[in-house]
Amino acid sequence: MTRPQPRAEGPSGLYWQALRRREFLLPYDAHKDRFLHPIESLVGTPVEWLPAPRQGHIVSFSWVHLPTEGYEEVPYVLATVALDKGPQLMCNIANAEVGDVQIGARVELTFEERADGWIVPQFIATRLAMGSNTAKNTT
Amino acid sequence: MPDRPRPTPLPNAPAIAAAVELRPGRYPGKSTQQLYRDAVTALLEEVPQARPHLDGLLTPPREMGGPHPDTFFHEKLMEELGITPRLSVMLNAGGATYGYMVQYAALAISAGMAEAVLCVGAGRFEKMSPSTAAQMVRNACHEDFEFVYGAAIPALYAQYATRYLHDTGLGEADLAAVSVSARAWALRNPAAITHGKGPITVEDVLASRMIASPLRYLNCSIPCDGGGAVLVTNRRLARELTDQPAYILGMGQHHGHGYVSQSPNLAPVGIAESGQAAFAMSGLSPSDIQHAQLYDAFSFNPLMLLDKLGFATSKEAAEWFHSGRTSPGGDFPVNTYGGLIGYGHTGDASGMSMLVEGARQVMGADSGRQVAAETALIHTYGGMLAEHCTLILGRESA
Repeated sequence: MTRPQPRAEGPSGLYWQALRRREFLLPYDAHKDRFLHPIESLVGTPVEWLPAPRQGHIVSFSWVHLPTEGYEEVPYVLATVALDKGPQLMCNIANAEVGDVQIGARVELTFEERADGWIVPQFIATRLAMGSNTAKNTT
Repeated sequence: MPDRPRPTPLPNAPAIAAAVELRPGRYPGKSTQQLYRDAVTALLEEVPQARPHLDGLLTPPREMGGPHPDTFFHEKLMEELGITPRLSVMLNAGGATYGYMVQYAALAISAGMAEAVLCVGAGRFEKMSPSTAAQMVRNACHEDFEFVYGAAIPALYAQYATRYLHDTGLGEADLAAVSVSARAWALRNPAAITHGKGPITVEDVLASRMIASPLRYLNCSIPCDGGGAVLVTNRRLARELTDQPAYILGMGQHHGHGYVSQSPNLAPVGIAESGQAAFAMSGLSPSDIQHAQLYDAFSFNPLMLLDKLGFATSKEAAEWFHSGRTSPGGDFPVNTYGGLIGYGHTGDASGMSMLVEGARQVMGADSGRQVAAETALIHTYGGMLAEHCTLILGRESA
């Protein structure tokens, strides 16, 4: 099965449409000098969408041994990453090795291509990130 | 933060006057609707004289976890019961549903809006087709920011669990000790799914297959079908119906993050606030409580809850499980029915199990696993540790 695609509905549409152009944009809160999660921009305050930080650290993770839609190859890593000066995002860790997947480990943005031209943001250990900018298969 | 009003004791001494549960298992020949009828029938068999007093009905949407929930089910059940109640509404907050039902029933009774409120639920937790399972996960998390990453339910909970172990210094053996204690209680409960399966050790849990690290098979609750009902009444009626009601002394709730990934540093929000509200209303503190029924979809939950509710540090809580304090014969029994891990997780009705057990312990029901319970604390939650519900029950009214 193919991996799930976003519905890209409401404010999350801006996020996903930008990703289709390989741009990683998030709403920016100038007062707090901090980037917000796309769902935080729902509250009705107009915000500017700007290029967001591409580095962060792992806040938590799990090696998942349960196959799910498009994730038949196990184990895969489901992680939560905190962007520098930005929100927490759920993701997979691309090309994951046990030693790299630790709480606090530095990670960097990479793009996974999915069907119908969708681009899904993923993260990869900073030490592996040099020169690679597309992870075709994150498991 | 503005000054908020303090919780005060409830007028009219609302109490649980009866609490019953169907045996958890598989009911392939019965509709979910029939499980509801069976739960109501079991309750009315226990307190037949309550029937003419019934003037409140609370249900969840029938099959709320499935693809086609019935969101007007309470109206249909009213017709079948032949009542035109003063108070009825459908209520859903996942695992916290039934704890919240007791809270709203108690408020209605305190305000004189109802005399006897029936809270009922039934559920099935079947092996689902991949598309149904995917739909359930879509509902349970954010489609565009979590589901697209293969976020199965144990994997979502595991985000909390991994971080919890990291922050507290606990390890997988401590999670295992919770499962061991749950099984020890399940062996004393003939209704429990694992009743006939014999005791387990920490080593057995650590040898069971990994589902989503750090959660192994024996750290997870067991899907099954079931249902139950509780009757909340005022003191006068409760005393007519039973020698020993379970008085509702404290109630609290708090609502944290709807999406796992948005909980700052993966620390669930709202457990402590919910507990503090319940303690404040009751005038009690953790040291006054003799036993606890703690929602345990996964085995890290009871450790985290004992810590956040103020009973012990996580390290101490883990030691309670290892040393047998929480097990049969221990001085702080936890999940005396076997927990969702040992007894079974009845899908939409899972939040009923610890409520019924806590109430029956306080009421002194002869179950063969009776503990010395002057009081009980029951903590349930809905969503992925998102919305919290604490109840404190006692043998003496406030």
